[in-house]
Amino acid sequence: MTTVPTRWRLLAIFVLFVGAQVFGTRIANDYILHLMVLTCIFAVLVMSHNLVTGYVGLFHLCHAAFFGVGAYVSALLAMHLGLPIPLTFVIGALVAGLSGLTVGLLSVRLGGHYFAIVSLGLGVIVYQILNNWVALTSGPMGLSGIPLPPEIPWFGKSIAWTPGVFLTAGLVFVFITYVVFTRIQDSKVGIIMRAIRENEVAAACVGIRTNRVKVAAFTIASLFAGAAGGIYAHYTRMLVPEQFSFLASAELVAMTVLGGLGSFGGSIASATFFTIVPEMLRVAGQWRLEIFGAMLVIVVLFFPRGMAGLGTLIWQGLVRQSGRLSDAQGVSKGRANRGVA
Amino acid sequence: MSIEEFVVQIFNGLVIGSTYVLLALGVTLIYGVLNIINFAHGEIFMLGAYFAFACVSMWGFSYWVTAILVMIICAALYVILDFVAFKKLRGFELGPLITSIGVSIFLQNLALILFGGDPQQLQTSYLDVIISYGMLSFSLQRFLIIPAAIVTIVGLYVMIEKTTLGRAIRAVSQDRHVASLMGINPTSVIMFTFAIAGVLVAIPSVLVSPLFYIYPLMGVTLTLKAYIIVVMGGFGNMLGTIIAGMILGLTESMVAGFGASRWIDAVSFMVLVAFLLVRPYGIVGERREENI
Repeated sequence: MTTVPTRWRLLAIFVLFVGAQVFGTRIANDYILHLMVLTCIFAVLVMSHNLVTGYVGLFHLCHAAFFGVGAYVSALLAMHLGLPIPLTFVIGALVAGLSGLTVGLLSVRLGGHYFAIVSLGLGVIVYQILNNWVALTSGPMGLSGIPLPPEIPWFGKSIAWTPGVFLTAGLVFVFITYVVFTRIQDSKVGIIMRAIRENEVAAACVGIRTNRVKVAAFTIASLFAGAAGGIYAHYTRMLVPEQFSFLASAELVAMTVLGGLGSFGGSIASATFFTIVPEMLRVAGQWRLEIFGAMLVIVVLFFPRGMAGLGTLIWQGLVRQSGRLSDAQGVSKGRANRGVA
Repeated sequence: MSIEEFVVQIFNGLVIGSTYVLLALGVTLIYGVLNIINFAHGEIFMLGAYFAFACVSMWGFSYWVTAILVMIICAALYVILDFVAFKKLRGFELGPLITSIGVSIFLQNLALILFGGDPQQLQTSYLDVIISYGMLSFSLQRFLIIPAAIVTIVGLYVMIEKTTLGRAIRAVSQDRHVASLMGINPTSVIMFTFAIAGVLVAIPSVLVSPLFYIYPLMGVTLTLKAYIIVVMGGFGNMLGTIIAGMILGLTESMVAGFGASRWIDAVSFMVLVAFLLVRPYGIVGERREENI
């Protein structure tokens, strides 16, 4: 198996992001710019979901709940206690990370299907708290009028938080997430994670404390989801519990699978695809979710490696074209071609 | 809570519990044979309820004819579902879970387009037959599910334990490859299993939907409840499923009795989480390394 080397991926993503920043702030209209900011937030969510589901192989069905925890904590602290927003953002992410740690410690020792159901249940509990604790969260009405972050002083000027600035921040955030996650992926911990995914019993037999690694991955993923929630809260400036329901988590699962389990580049691609393409396919109207559901089935049945598989195929084609197949096979990472397993 | 209310809530708990048990038995049967999680279970229930509504209210069929038709339709839907979404993924565990989420999103929105978002109600004559017994007073429709559940459970038990098909299902659920060496055709056994699960989901779909509204998203909660029960009972364990279903039904009606019905879903999942901390292998299950 030939895959794209990590430094090439980083370079490609960096160039792509600079391009996106220039396009978003100079050329695109407000609407496209808005979609691009949302794409950044979803890209982080899908990547962090992928770390748990694609890498460690825990089937995680409540990722939107951690996104919601980060968003609500940051928004409520800023609205009711008037704390400065960078601080609320950090607290929101930390609270999400801590809840991830707690949930992880409680549930990670359960095997595959049990974990899936318990995570599903935790998602429902968080959703019901957001929906029913009216005194705190305003219930189904949602929160509105969440403050914008303060202006950034910048060489004597001050920069207000326009959507363009949010886009830049979002792209930086996605880039940082990508770098952190690929560092994890290439490190010893990443190899351990893959070992757990492929065969947990065998991993435990060679002395890996599988539960620790699983809890760690779960906590990191929740932390990033909470951070994405913080940005989302202060960008859209209104939150509704529906955005963090089971359906939202299911959509994240869908995006992860369509992007390719275990591929962070694929996650970014599918987050982009699923934020922008449905909006452009307005003609599909009420059939949008049907197409979504049907695509999920078709992808798992016929393209189990998702968009990342497509990328790898194209890369292999390029390598073959340039006649470097023989060298490239030597540096193959030996990633198992197992798709959804 | 007064003693009257308590008795009423116990009765309601039995009604809800019977519904959940029948729903969860279908899930656990499929899990036992194929080791897959199927999130489209509640959507089959929803489609069955809509079909029953169409039969009774639009085409004027009698209620019992409708019940038979819904069983056939649900069994057929389940076989089709298996053919479309699961057949190609035999041996994978998480693939079918993802495709079933896809199917469930698809079916919910299809129902939304076909039948609209307005809740419908299935009218039957049994809703007006009121039975009074001591301090209890309820409609016959509300009561029907309890004997139906008992008959179904006994029937299922006899079928699984005594008939050739049941023996074949047990053999396939233990080891599909060895079963096929013993002259059992796993493909047809799996098909029958899905058909039986369809019948099991059709029974509460016909009997209980007159008590509630029918709407496109009704299946989501039911699927969640079915899985809480299946996990509490220990995956693939029938006796555990029955006990867990009754526990959950009674818990929910008590929560509703204390006026906290908004929190029912959260409470039932908290019961599950608390339960798994104490007995991660189910109510009557054996401790197995693969579960914990």
